[in-house]
Amino acid sequence: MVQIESEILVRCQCGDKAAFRSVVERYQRMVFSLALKMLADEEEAKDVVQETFIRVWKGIRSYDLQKPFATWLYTIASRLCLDRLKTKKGLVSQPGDLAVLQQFASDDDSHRALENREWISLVRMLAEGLSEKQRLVFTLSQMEGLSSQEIEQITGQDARQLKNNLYVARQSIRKRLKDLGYE
Amino acid sequence: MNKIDDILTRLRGQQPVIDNPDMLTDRIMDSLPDIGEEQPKRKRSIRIYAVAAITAAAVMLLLFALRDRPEPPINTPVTAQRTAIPKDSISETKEIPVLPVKQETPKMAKTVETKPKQTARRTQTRVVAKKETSATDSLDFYIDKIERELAQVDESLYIERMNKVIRADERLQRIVNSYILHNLDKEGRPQTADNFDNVTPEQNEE
Repeated sequence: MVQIESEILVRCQCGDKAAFRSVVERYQRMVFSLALKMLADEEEAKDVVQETFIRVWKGIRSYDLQKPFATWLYTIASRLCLDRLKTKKGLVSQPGDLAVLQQFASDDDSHRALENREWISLVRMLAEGLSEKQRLVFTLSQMEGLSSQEIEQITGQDARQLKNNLYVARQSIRKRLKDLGYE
Repeated sequence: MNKIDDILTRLRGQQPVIDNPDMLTDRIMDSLPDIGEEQPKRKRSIRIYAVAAITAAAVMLLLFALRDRPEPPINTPVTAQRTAIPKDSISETKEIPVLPVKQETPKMAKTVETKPKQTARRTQTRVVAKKETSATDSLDFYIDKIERELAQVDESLYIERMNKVIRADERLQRIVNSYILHNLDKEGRPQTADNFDNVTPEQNEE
Protein backbone atom coordinates (compact mmCIF):
# COMPACT_ATOMS: atom_id res chain seq x y z
CA MET A 1 0.00 0.00 0.00
CA VAL A 2 1.17 3.48 -0.77
CA GLN A 3 1.57 5.57 2.33
CA ILE A 4 1.03 9.24 2.42
CA GLU A 5 3.59 11.62 3.81
CA SER A 6 3.12 12.24 7.52
CA GLU A 7 3.59 15.94 7.02
CA ILE A 8 0.32 16.12 5.12
CA LEU A 9 -1.41 14.19 7.87
CA VAL A 10 -0.02 16.56 10.50
CA ARG A 11 -1.49 19.46 8.58
CA CYS A 12 -4.78 17.62 8.43
CA GLN A 13 -4.67 17.22 12.18
CA CYS A 14 -4.33 20.98 12.44
CA GLY A 15 -7.57 21.35 10.50
CA ASP A 16 -6.06 22.04 7.11
CA LYS A 17 -8.81 21.06 4.68
CA ALA A 18 -6.66 21.69 1.65
CA ALA A 19 -4.23 19.08 2.92
CA PHE A 20 -7.09 16.72 3.56
CA ARG A 21 -8.36 17.23 0.04
CA SER A 22 -5.09 15.89 -1.25
CA VAL A 23 -5.56 12.86 0.98
CA VAL A 24 -9.04 12.31 -0.42
CA GLU A 25 -7.86 12.61 -4.00
CA ARG A 26 -5.10 10.10 -3.34
CA TYR A 27 -7.14 7.44 -1.54
CA GLN A 28 -10.72 7.72 -2.72
CA ARG A 29 -10.26 5.29 -5.60
CA MET A 30 -8.75 2.71 -3.25
CA VAL A 31 -11.74 2.95 -0.93
CA PHE A 32 -14.16 2.94 -3.85
CA SER A 33 -12.57 -0.23 -5.19
CA LEU A 34 -13.07 -2.07 -1.93
CA ALA A 35 -16.61 -0.77 -1.50
CA LEU A 36 -17.69 -1.64 -5.03
CA LYS A 37 -16.33 -5.17 -4.76
CA MET A 38 -18.02 -5.66 -1.46
CA LEU A 39 -21.38 -4.09 -2.17
CA ALA A 40 -21.72 -4.60 -5.95
CA ASP A 41 -23.47 -1.25 -6.21
CA GLU A 42 -21.84 1.90 -7.53
CA GLU A 43 -23.89 4.48 -5.67
CA GLU A 44 -23.59 2.64 -2.41
CA ALA A 45 -19.88 2.39 -2.92
CA LYS A 46 -19.66 6.18 -3.32
CA ASP A 47 -21.68 6.64 -0.15
CA VAL A 48 -19.22 4.44 1.68
CA VAL A 49 -16.33 6.46 0.32
CA GLN A 50 -17.90 9.68 1.53
CA GLU A 51 -18.73 8.26 4.95
CA THR A 52 -15.24 6.83 5.29
CA PHE A 53 -13.54 10.14 4.75
CA ILE A 54 -15.94 11.97 7.00
CA ARG A 55 -15.03 9.59 9.78
CA VAL A 56 -11.37 9.91 9.00
CA TRP A 57 -11.65 13.68 9.18
CA LYS A 58 -13.47 13.56 12.48
CA GLY A 59 -10.91 11.20 13.98
CA ILE A 60 -7.82 12.60 12.36
CA ARG A 61 -6.65 14.38 15.51
CA SER A 62 -6.53 11.18 17.47
CA TYR A 63 -4.91 9.22 14.69
CA ASP A 64 -1.51 7.77 15.52
CA LEU A 65 0.90 8.96 12.86
CA GLN A 66 3.11 5.95 13.45
CA LYS A 67 0.51 3.57 12.09
CA PRO A 68 -0.09 3.07 8.37
CA PHE A 69 -2.76 5.45 7.18
CA ALA A 70 -4.08 3.18 4.44
CA THR A 71 -4.67 0.40 6.96
CA TRP A 72 -6.76 2.76 9.05
CA LEU A 73 -8.67 3.81 5.95
CA TYR A 74 -9.34 0.20 4.93
CA THR A 75 -10.47 -0.62 8.44
CA ILE A 76 -13.09 2.10 8.47
CA ALA A 77 -14.27 1.31 4.96
CA SER A 78 -14.48 -2.44 5.70
CA ARG A 79 -16.64 -1.89 8.74
CA LEU A 80 -18.95 0.42 6.85
CA CYS A 81 -19.28 -2.18 4.11
CA LEU A 82 -20.03 -4.94 6.59
CA ASP A 83 -22.65 -2.76 8.26
CA ARG A 84 -24.37 -2.19 4.96
CA LEU A 85 -24.23 -5.85 4.02
CA LYS A 86 -26.08 -6.74 7.19
CA THR A 87 -29.09 -4.86 5.94
CA LYS A 88 -28.89 -6.18 2.41
CA LYS A 89 -29.89 -9.48 1.00
CA GLY A 90 -27.12 -11.80 -0.06
CA LEU A 91 -25.58 -11.26 -3.47
CA VAL A 92 -27.41 -13.05 -6.20
CA SER A 93 -26.10 -13.23 -9.72
CA GLN A 94 -28.21 -11.75 -12.48
CA PRO A 95 -28.88 -13.26 -15.90
CA GLY A 96 -26.31 -11.11 -17.68
CA ASP A 97 -23.51 -11.73 -15.20
CA LEU A 98 -22.39 -15.04 -16.68
CA ALA A 99 -21.90 -13.43 -20.06
CA VAL A 100 -19.68 -10.80 -18.52
CA LEU A 101 -17.59 -13.47 -16.84
CA GLN A 102 -17.24 -15.41 -20.04
CA GLN A 103 -16.25 -12.30 -21.91
CA PHE A 104 -13.67 -11.45 -19.28
CA ALA A 105 -12.27 -14.97 -19.18
CA SER A 106 -11.88 -15.14 -22.93
CA ASP A 107 -10.49 -11.65 -23.31
CA ASP A 108 -6.94 -11.74 -24.60
CA ASP A 109 -6.21 -8.19 -23.50
CA SER A 110 -5.41 -8.75 -19.84
CA HIS A 111 -4.71 -5.08 -19.24
CA ARG A 112 -8.10 -3.82 -20.31
CA ALA A 113 -9.72 -1.92 -17.54
CA LEU A 114 -13.08 -3.24 -16.56
CA GLU A 115 -16.05 -1.01 -16.45
CA ASN A 116 -17.86 -0.68 -13.19
CA ARG A 117 -20.87 -2.60 -14.41
CA GLU A 118 -18.57 -5.45 -15.36
CA TRP A 119 -17.01 -5.39 -11.94
CA ILE A 120 -20.41 -5.67 -10.41
CA SER A 121 -21.33 -8.64 -12.55
CA LEU A 122 -18.09 -10.43 -11.76
CA VAL A 123 -18.46 -9.80 -8.05
CA ARG A 124 -21.99 -11.18 -8.10
CA MET A 125 -20.83 -14.27 -9.95
CA LEU A 126 -17.84 -14.97 -7.75
CA ALA A 127 -19.10 -13.94 -4.32
CA GLU A 128 -22.49 -15.61 -4.44
CA GLY A 129 -22.83 -17.88 -1.45
CA LEU A 130 -20.00 -16.35 0.59
CA SER A 131 -20.52 -14.88 4.02
CA GLU A 132 -19.70 -11.23 4.60
CA LYS A 133 -16.47 -12.02 6.39
CA GLN A 134 -15.40 -14.51 3.76
CA ARG A 135 -16.15 -12.01 1.05
CA LEU A 136 -14.18 -9.34 2.87
CA VAL A 137 -11.04 -11.39 3.35
CA PHE A 138 -11.24 -12.69 -0.22
CA THR A 139 -11.64 -9.17 -1.58
CA LEU A 140 -8.80 -7.76 0.50
CA SER A 141 -6.54 -10.68 -0.32
CA GLN A 142 -7.35 -11.80 -3.83
CA MET A 143 -8.66 -8.59 -5.34
CA GLU A 144 -6.93 -5.82 -3.43
CA GLY A 145 -3.68 -7.71 -3.07
CA LEU A 146 -3.13 -7.03 0.63
CA SER A 147 -0.86 -9.12 2.81
CA SER A 148 -2.12 -11.41 5.53
CA GLN A 149 -0.68 -9.14 8.21
CA GLU A 150 -2.46 -6.12 6.79
CA ILE A 151 -5.72 -8.06 6.52
CA GLU A 152 -5.40 -9.17 10.14
CA GLN A 153 -5.04 -5.55 11.23
CA ILE A 154 -7.97 -4.43 9.09
CA THR A 155 -10.42 -7.17 9.94
CA GLY A 156 -9.33 -7.87 13.48
CA GLN A 157 -9.26 -11.58 12.73
CA ASP A 158 -6.35 -13.61 13.99
CA ALA A 159 -4.17 -15.63 11.65
CA ARG A 160 -6.15 -18.83 12.15
CA GLN A 161 -9.52 -17.21 11.49
CA LEU A 162 -8.16 -15.38 8.50
CA LYS A 163 -6.68 -18.51 7.05
CA ASN A 164 -9.92 -20.43 7.48
CA ASN A 165 -12.10 -17.74 5.97
CA LEU A 166 -9.76 -17.30 3.06
CA TYR A 167 -9.55 -21.02 2.43
CA VAL A 168 -13.32 -21.42 2.42
CA ALA A 169 -13.75 -18.40 0.15
CA ARG A 170 -11.19 -19.63 -2.36
CA GLN A 171 -12.61 -23.12 -2.39
CA SER A 172 -16.10 -21.78 -2.91
CA ILE A 173 -15.11 -19.54 -5.81
CA ARG A 174 -13.03 -22.21 -7.42
CA LYS A 175 -15.90 -24.63 -7.26
CA ARG A 176 -18.22 -22.05 -8.73
CA LEU A 177 -15.90 -21.35 -11.62
CA LYS A 178 -15.40 -25.02 -12.13
CA ASP A 179 -19.15 -25.49 -12.27
CA LEU A 180 -19.23 -22.82 -14.96
CA GLY A 181 -16.82 -24.77 -17.03
CA TYR A 182 -13.53 -23.24 -16.06
CA GLU A 183 -10.67 -25.39 -14.89
CA MET B 1 -1.67 -21.68 -14.88
CA ASN B 2 -5.19 -22.90 -15.07
CA LYS B 3 -8.03 -20.75 -16.12
CA ILE B 4 -9.28 -20.12 -12.61
CA ASP B 5 -5.95 -18.82 -11.41
CA ASP B 6 -5.75 -16.69 -14.52
CA ILE B 7 -9.10 -15.12 -13.81
CA LEU B 8 -8.21 -14.41 -10.22
CA THR B 9 -4.79 -13.06 -11.09
CA ARG B 10 -6.20 -10.68 -13.63
CA LEU B 11 -8.70 -9.40 -11.14
CA ARG B 12 -6.08 -8.81 -8.52
CA GLY B 13 -4.69 -5.31 -8.39
CA GLN B 14 -7.25 -3.86 -10.76
CA GLN B 15 -9.25 -1.08 -9.30
CA PRO B 16 -12.58 0.18 -10.60
CA VAL B 17 -12.61 3.72 -11.92
CA ILE B 18 -14.68 6.51 -10.43
CA ASP B 19 -16.72 8.11 -13.17
CA ASN B 20 -16.20 11.64 -12.01
CA PRO B 21 -13.57 11.68 -9.28
CA ASP B 22 -13.53 15.47 -8.86
CA MET B 23 -17.23 15.49 -8.24
CA LEU B 24 -16.89 12.81 -5.59
CA THR B 25 -14.02 14.73 -3.99
CA ASP B 26 -16.06 17.92 -3.90
CA ARG B 27 -18.97 16.03 -2.43
CA ILE B 28 -16.74 14.64 0.28
CA MET B 29 -15.13 17.96 1.07
CA ASP B 30 -18.47 19.75 1.24
CA SER B 31 -19.76 17.25 3.75
CA LEU B 32 -16.84 17.54 6.12
CA PRO B 33 -17.73 19.11 9.45
CA ASP B 34 -15.60 21.87 10.81
CA ILE B 35 -13.40 20.29 13.45
CA GLY B 36 -13.17 23.63 15.26
CA GLU B 37 -16.97 23.78 15.62
CA GLU B 38 -17.24 20.40 17.30
CA GLN B 39 -14.96 21.16 20.20
CA PRO B 40 -16.96 24.00 21.76
CA LYS B 41 -20.06 21.79 21.67
CA ARG B 42 -18.09 19.01 23.31
CA LYS B 43 -16.70 21.44 25.88
CA ARG B 44 -20.14 22.84 26.48
CA SER B 45 -21.62 19.41 26.94
CA ILE B 46 -18.80 18.52 29.29
CA ARG B 47 -19.49 21.69 31.25
CA ILE B 48 -23.16 20.86 31.46
CA TYR B 49 -22.42 17.35 32.66
CA ALA B 50 -19.96 18.70 35.22
CA VAL B 51 -22.46 21.23 36.55
CA ALA B 52 -25.18 18.59 36.70
CA ALA B 53 -22.89 16.21 38.56
CA ILE B 54 -21.84 18.87 41.05
CA THR B 55 -25.44 19.91 41.63
CA ALA B 56 -26.53 16.34 42.16
CA ALA B 57 -23.67 15.78 44.59
CA ALA B 58 -24.58 18.94 46.51
CA VAL B 59 -28.21 17.88 46.76
CA MET B 60 -27.21 14.44 47.98
CA LEU B 61 -24.92 15.94 50.60
CA LEU B 62 -27.67 18.25 51.74
CA LEU B 63 -30.11 15.39 52.04
CA PHE B 64 -27.67 13.32 54.03
CA ALA B 65 -26.89 16.24 56.29
CA LEU B 66 -30.56 16.88 56.97
CA ARG B 67 -31.22 13.24 57.57
CA ASP B 68 -28.34 12.86 59.98
CA ARG B 69 -29.15 15.99 61.93
CA PRO B 70 -30.19 14.95 65.43
CA GLU B 71 -33.78 15.76 66.19
CA PRO B 72 -34.47 18.04 69.09
CA PRO B 73 -35.57 16.20 72.18
CA ILE B 74 -39.28 15.68 72.62
CA ASN B 75 -40.77 16.40 76.01
CA THR B 76 -42.44 13.35 77.35
CA PRO B 77 -46.10 14.01 77.77
CA VAL B 78 -47.35 14.09 81.32
CA THR B 79 -50.90 13.18 81.80
CA ALA B 80 -52.78 16.00 83.40
CA GLN B 81 -54.50 14.94 86.52
CA ARG B 82 -57.97 16.17 87.07
CA THR B 83 -58.87 17.63 90.35
CA ALA B 84 -62.21 18.37 91.75
CA ILE B 85 -63.42 21.80 90.96
CA PRO B 86 -66.46 23.46 92.37
CA LYS B 87 -69.34 23.38 89.98
CA ASP B 88 -70.17 27.02 90.16
CA SER B 89 -66.69 28.00 89.26
CA ILE B 90 -67.01 26.48 85.90
CA SER B 91 -67.77 29.03 83.35
CA GLU B 92 -70.67 28.51 81.04
CA THR B 93 -69.18 30.51 78.37
CA LYS B 94 -68.20 28.84 75.24
CA GLU B 95 -65.39 31.05 74.37
CA ILE B 96 -62.48 29.60 72.67
CA PRO B 97 -59.96 28.46 75.25
CA VAL B 98 -56.45 29.66 75.43
CA LEU B 99 -55.08 26.41 74.22
CA PRO B 100 -54.66 26.56 70.51
CA VAL B 101 -55.15 22.98 69.53
CA LYS B 102 -53.86 23.30 66.08
CA GLN B 103 -53.68 20.75 63.36
CA GLU B 104 -50.66 22.21 61.70
CA THR B 105 -47.20 23.44 62.53
CA PRO B 106 -45.60 21.03 64.80
CA LYS B 107 -43.56 23.06 67.20
CA MET B 108 -41.49 22.19 70.15
CA ALA B 109 -41.70 24.84 72.78
CA LYS B 110 -38.97 25.83 75.05
CA THR B 111 -40.30 27.77 77.93
CA VAL B 112 -38.39 30.56 79.49
CA GLU B 113 -39.31 31.90 82.85
CA THR B 114 -39.06 35.61 83.05
CA LYS B 115 -40.38 36.23 86.59
CA PRO B 116 -40.54 34.52 89.92
CA LYS B 117 -43.00 31.85 90.72
CA GLN B 118 -45.65 33.98 92.43
CA THR B 119 -46.56 36.16 89.53
CA ALA B 120 -48.37 34.89 86.54
CA ARG B 121 -46.77 35.78 83.37
CA ARG B 122 -47.16 34.78 79.90
CA THR B 123 -44.26 32.59 79.16
CA GLN B 124 -42.32 33.26 76.16
CA THR B 125 -41.70 30.39 74.04
CA ARG B 126 -39.23 29.85 71.40
CA VAL B 127 -40.35 27.55 68.75
CA VAL B 128 -38.10 25.19 67.00
CA ALA B 129 -39.34 23.83 63.79
CA LYS B 130 -39.86 20.14 63.72
CA LYS B 131 -40.12 18.12 60.64
CA GLU B 132 -43.11 15.88 61.08
CA THR B 133 -45.52 16.10 63.97
CA SER B 134 -49.17 15.55 64.37
CA ALA B 135 -52.02 17.22 66.24
CA THR B 136 -51.46 14.93 69.21
CA ASP B 137 -47.82 16.00 69.37
CA SER B 138 -48.94 19.59 69.53
CA LEU B 139 -51.43 18.65 72.21
CA ASP B 140 -48.81 16.99 74.30
CA PHE B 141 -46.72 20.06 74.06
CA TYR B 142 -49.52 22.32 75.24
CA ILE B 143 -50.44 20.04 78.06
CA ASP B 144 -46.86 20.23 79.21
CA LYS B 145 -47.00 23.93 78.99
CA ILE B 146 -50.19 24.16 80.97
CA GLU B 147 -48.79 22.01 83.72
CA ARG B 148 -45.76 24.20 83.98
CA GLU B 149 -47.81 27.36 84.05
CA LEU B 150 -50.22 26.01 86.60
CA ALA B 151 -47.37 25.23 88.88
CA GLN B 152 -46.34 28.82 88.83
CA VAL B 153 -49.54 30.78 89.23
CA ASP B 154 -51.43 31.70 92.38
CA GLU B 155 -54.71 30.19 93.30
CA SER B 156 -57.04 32.63 91.56
CA LEU B 157 -55.32 32.33 88.31
CA TYR B 158 -55.05 28.64 88.83
CA ILE B 159 -58.80 28.27 89.00
CA GLU B 160 -59.28 30.38 85.92
CA ARG B 161 -56.77 28.39 84.00
CA MET B 162 -58.30 25.14 85.11
CA ASN B 163 -61.68 26.23 83.83
CA LYS B 164 -60.15 26.76 80.49
CA VAL B 165 -58.53 23.40 80.68
CA ILE B 166 -61.84 21.80 81.40
CA ARG B 167 -63.46 23.48 78.45
CA ALA B 168 -60.62 22.33 76.24
CA ASP B 169 -61.03 18.89 77.64
CA GLU B 170 -64.67 18.94 76.65
CA ARG B 171 -63.71 19.70 73.12
CA LEU B 172 -61.23 16.92 73.14
CA GLN B 173 -63.79 14.53 74.47
CA ARG B 174 -66.12 15.48 71.65
CA ILE B 175 -63.37 14.67 69.18
CA VAL B 176 -62.79 11.31 70.81
CA ASN B 177 -66.50 10.59 70.97
CA SER B 178 -67.04 11.25 67.33
CA TYR B 179 -64.17 8.95 66.52
CA ILE B 180 -65.64 6.22 68.64
CA LEU B 181 -69.06 6.75 67.14
CA HIS B 182 -67.60 6.46 63.71
CA ASN B 183 -66.00 3.17 64.53
CA LEU B 184 -69.13 1.88 66.16
CA ASP B 185 -71.18 2.75 63.13
CA LYS B 186 -68.77 0.88 60.99
CA GLU B 187 -69.02 -2.18 63.16
CA GLY B 188 -72.77 -1.95 63.45
CA ARG B 189 -72.86 -2.06 67.18
CA PRO B 190 -75.47 -0.28 69.22
CA GLN B 191 -74.50 3.21 70.05
CA THR B 192 -73.26 3.48 73.55
CA ALA B 193 -71.30 6.64 73.11
CA ASP B 194 -73.08 8.35 75.93
CA ASN B 195 -71.23 6.21 78.39
CA PHE B 196 -67.99 7.71 77.25
CA ASP B 197 -68.99 11.26 77.80
CA ASN B 198 -67.88 11.63 81.34
CA VAL B 199 -67.23 15.30 81.40
CA THR B 200 -70.50 16.79 82.28
CA PRO B 201 -71.16 19.22 85.04
CA GLU B 202 -73.61 16.84 86.60
CA GLN B 203 -71.06 14.16 86.94
CA ASN B 204 -68.40 16.28 88.52
CA GLU B 205 -68.06 15.69 92.16
CA GLU B 206 -68.68 18.51 94.38
